[in-house]
Amino acid sequence: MPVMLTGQRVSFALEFRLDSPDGGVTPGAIAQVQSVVFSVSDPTAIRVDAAADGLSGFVVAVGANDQSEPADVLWDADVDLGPGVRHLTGKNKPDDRFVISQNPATMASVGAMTFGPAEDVPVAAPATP
Amino acid sequence: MADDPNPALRSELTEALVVVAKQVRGLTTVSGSSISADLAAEVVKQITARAHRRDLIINAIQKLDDALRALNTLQADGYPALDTTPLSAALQNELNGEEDDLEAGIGVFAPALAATAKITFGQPETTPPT
Repeated sequence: MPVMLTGQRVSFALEFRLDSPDGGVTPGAIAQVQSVVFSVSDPTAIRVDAAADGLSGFVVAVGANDQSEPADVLWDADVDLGPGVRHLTGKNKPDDRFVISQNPATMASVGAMTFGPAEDVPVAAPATP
Repeated sequence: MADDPNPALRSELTEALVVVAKQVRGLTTVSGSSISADLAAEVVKQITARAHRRDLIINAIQKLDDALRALNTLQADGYPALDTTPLSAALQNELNGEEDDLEAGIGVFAPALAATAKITFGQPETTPPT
């Protein structure tokens, strides 16, 4: 499962390969993609910056998320399967879900504690009857 | 008149035929002269081999001739044109009805096609400032 810090990114590449159970096309051949739109399951954690080719780009970590709910990259594509164009949707494998942690170097505030010189602990005054 | 399908090959074969035919004639002349039995046997062997080669060359040239004749016949048939054929309105309507039925029948089926998507990710890197 990819783990990123905020301020980091990973490249990605998406491809579609033909899979024809009864022939008619060349199984395993790269399918031509007419259009593809990316989205993410948690926009507060990641975003997709697609390249001009539409099939690659970067997944950018924008905010920390809950490790129990990693973020997914989803796509919505029109793919030419030879005899026709099909609308296909999908997302990354479960092992490729994104966990984003806050980058310590970019935290908004840093705690600091300073100490003074040693001194005697004051004795408590006896209680008056 | 169609063009020879392979004039270079025809020229090569014709030249080879001239050479081998001359060899056969020469060997035949030698075989009829006063030579030893051993030499005669070698000469006859070569006459047989060269004559066989000559016959194969002649056969190949004849096949080129056959191809040329076939191309001429094809061109005489109007090749490569394939003109449409005029049809009366009634017959055209009947044909269009058949076409509609055919399209309806074909529309019952859809191609069993699919594609497998695969997305791969690189290693984390620092996002450059925009």
